Amino acid sequence: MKATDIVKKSKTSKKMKKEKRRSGLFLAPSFLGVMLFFVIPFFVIIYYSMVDNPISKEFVFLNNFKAIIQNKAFRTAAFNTFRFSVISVPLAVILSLILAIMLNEKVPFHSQLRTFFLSPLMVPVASVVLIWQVLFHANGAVNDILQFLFHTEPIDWLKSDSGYIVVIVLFLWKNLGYNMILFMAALASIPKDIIEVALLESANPFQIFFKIKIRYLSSTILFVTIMSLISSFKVFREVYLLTGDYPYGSLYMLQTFMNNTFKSLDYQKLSSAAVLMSIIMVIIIGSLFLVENAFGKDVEG
Amino acid sequence: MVKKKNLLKTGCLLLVLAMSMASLSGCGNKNEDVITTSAGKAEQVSGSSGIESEYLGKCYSAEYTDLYKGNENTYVELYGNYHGKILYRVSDYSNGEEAFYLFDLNTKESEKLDIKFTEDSDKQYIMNVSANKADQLAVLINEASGTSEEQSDVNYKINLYNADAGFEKTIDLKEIQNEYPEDDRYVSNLILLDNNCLAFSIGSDVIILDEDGNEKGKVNSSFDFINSMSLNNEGKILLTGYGMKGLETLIVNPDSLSSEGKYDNFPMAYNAAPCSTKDGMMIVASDNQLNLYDPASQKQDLILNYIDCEIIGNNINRIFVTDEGQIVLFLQDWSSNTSEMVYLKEIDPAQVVQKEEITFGTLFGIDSDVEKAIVNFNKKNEKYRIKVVTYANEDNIQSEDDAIQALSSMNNSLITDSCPDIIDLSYVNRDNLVQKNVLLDLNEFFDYSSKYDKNDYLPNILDVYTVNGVLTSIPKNIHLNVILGGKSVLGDVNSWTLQDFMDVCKKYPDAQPFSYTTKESMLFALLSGSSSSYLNYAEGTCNFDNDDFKKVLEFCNQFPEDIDYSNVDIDPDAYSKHEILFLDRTLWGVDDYMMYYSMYGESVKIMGYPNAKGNNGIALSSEGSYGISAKTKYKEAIFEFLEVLLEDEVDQFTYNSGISPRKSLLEKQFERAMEEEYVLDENGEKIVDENGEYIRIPKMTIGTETGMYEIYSASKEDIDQIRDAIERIDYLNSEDYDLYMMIYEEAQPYFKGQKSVDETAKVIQSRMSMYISEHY
Repeated sequence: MKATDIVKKSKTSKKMKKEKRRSGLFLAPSFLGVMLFFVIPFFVIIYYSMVDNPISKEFVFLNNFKAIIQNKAFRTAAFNTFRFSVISVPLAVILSLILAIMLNEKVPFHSQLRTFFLSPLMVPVASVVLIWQVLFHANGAVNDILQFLFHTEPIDWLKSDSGYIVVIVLFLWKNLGYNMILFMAALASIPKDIIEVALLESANPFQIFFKIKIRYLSSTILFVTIMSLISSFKVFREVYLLTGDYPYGSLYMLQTFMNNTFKSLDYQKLSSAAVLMSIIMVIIIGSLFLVENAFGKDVEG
Repeated sequence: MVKKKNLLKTGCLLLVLAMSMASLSGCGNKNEDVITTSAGKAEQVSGSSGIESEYLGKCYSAEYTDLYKGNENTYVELYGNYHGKILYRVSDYSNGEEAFYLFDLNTKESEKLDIKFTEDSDKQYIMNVSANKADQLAVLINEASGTSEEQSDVNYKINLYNADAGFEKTIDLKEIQNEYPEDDRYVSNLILLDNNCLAFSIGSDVIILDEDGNEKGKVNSSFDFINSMSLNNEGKILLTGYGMKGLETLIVNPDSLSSEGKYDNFPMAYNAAPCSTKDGMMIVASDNQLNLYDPASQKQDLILNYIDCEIIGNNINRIFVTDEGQIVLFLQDWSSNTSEMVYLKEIDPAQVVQKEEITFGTLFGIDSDVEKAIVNFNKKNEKYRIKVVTYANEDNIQSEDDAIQALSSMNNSLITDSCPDIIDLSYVNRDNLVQKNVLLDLNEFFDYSSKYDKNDYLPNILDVYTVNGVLTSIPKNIHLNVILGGKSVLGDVNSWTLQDFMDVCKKYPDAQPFSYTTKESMLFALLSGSSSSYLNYAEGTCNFDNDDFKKVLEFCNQFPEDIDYSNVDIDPDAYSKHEILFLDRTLWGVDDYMMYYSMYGESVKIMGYPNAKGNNGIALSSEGSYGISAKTKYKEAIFEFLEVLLEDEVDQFTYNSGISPRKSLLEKQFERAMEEEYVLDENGEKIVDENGEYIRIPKMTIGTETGMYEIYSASKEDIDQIRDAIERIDYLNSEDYDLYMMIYEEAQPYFKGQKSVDETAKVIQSRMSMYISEHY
């Protein structure tokens, strides 16, 4: 190696080091914020989930987890949240994809329909909840319609075993528009020449959709699924505004449990529930990534 | 060029960093110009609200003076400046004598005045005395005419005296009084203005009289009740009174006879009238602190905290500023009938003795007993002082949500390192705190104290305060939450099921179970003692979806939704005539029991709240319940304080002061309650009637919503009844309001006919099962 090359290399490496230092400094505020408000509190939560109480702080390892798994309220909350996510997330993904495909075609009033589906995003949750309460009350509009059409007995939807259906409808109404926009953007980015080639080779619309479009949409489907999953875990806000601290059993969600245990200072239950929930989230999201990797790896770009 | 670019980049980076740090630093508490206190003295950093005054930024010491060494029959009232000294009156109830004195703050000596303001002290009573700057005096006198049966015929007069206390004239207020409804003729709050005009309040009006005593005019305050009247520096009258928004102010111009608006941001002055200073400020005694109010800027600032200065704020009866500018407070302790005068002396902060601080955490503040105990402890203890930390004070509580927020803040501090040393347990969940090892086991207190013996305490009462073997608090006195009913209705039973209760009610179909019974009140009454029948905290289960609970709902549904209280008058004999069967009450003591005896006209049964199993004990509540943090460094000092707090003498027990949990004191209370009182002759000998029997007289007469009732001494049977009820105490009345509200909320659609009882019970069961399993 020539001496000039060595000098050049050392100069480059010095420059790179300087560059790294500068980037590090620019990243520092965000890094500090994430550490301070997310990472450190998360470790504090893990610590609290393994001590008996915040005063004596005796290490009890997994005892809090055992206790919480045996707790009926936690089990009900976990079941309700799981049921809600399992039903609402696929529905949110599939329905928004159908809407996106529909609006991508030349359907009449497609721009009005797009605005219609996006409008729930602009409405504050508190007012949405108010409307929902009026609609699904025992004397509400939904019961009136059902009574008129099918002569059914009025149901107090939010205080019945079917309460979760109301929240699923609310969730879909609120989230479909956002998901739809993401899918529309992804659909627009699928290379047109591939579709044209497929058409020339006599592929039918179903083949084009399942063999080409779905493959190209796989990363967006993953993203929409993860976002919907996260939103489904956050549906507590709507449930709380609709029903308060202690809703009917079918609407008792994991975050309801956490909110109430926080209020009753039961930080051990709260932190162990939070740790369990995050483990489950990591497993679900990790699995989704694996599926996406396996399914969409041969797609270009 | 590159260098310059780099410099620019680095500069930008530093700016970003500086901005982030600055924004983070904004998260801290900026409230630093508050008070540092030590050793019973208060020090304040001045100008925190922009007010400038000689009274701010100083360190004060409270100097106490006993104006008059009297006895339990002596009553002292202080009026303010007169001839450069302090004018006060001493009345002796035992012989009806009264005298006026002048106290000299410099020599600390009192001189008796040779003046008499009333002619017949049996019929005339001095309500108020006011002196103006020229040392002329006006005395408001309440004169009862006719016999004692016609006491309502009360006439007010104002006597005027010149600067030498020579009588000038009497102004009769009868004509003015007669313009007001009979029940609204109470005259109070007299002020003698410097132009010799007079101002006083009657009803919600302020009346101004000219120097000849003729009515000049009146100004309506629109207050329900005028609490106080005082003069500001401009000679205008400042009123405080209870209006639509609570305690409000109004400024009245006595010359133009008009109101001139109000003071905004005025501190709450419940006890003593505000007082003006030479520099135009107003000194205002609010709940916990003495404030300075600037009428010009309408801002307030803190002069001192009472506890820091070892002053019992609840006892402040009058404030005034001497001619030399010294603040004087007059304290009146109604429970012990003692009075003290305090003047605030400015001291050098360096003189203040530094003491270690013990924190006393409370949600809404402390009651007068605790305040007294803290002040006494702080006065005597040379090493420690107690500092009160209030989580929900006037400054941060505007709504129910604020109170919930404050409770949450208190709860959080209890389980962290900022836990106060002494904890007011009134609003917190003691089971939860014991579970988290927050509370010290107060059995240790009995090992420490030579004054208090655990065996002297009723064991069932200590058991009620014990959670998982930890004695959480020791009550000073207790009250019983009970249902009372006549013996003729209840017979000899001591406990009952919900069905028994409903059967008794059915037996008297024309009677109301309780006065003003509504669906809601009946549901709350029936749930009070029976929640354990439906909720099993030990197993985390509940049982609302059963026939018993459905029967309760059906039973409550027969009562009205609401009652128009303005149209309902209760006949005083309604209880004795079995028109109203029961009373849902807090039983405060033997005298209270005897009042109910008088109400029912027969022996009264003390019952616990009915429940499904019929094994109902009696619920207990106590006025204050205080625990000690397990982490405190000052255990022994707090035990010393606890000894002061629990101090109780049977002589101090008055009507409604509670039942002692200590066997020795309880027996003395019983003995005192059984002492008969008779009519005595002038030699103190008992008088006999025509049958040769001594004539009994009532110990006291108590007025209630239904009428006046005479309280006689208790018989042995009455005492046995009470003793038995105390022995049956087996739980602490810690009403879970959230739980009741949830049940009531779900019962509403059933009460309105929108849901069946089965559906209602199912919904309640579902919500409650979440509630209970969460707490399991």
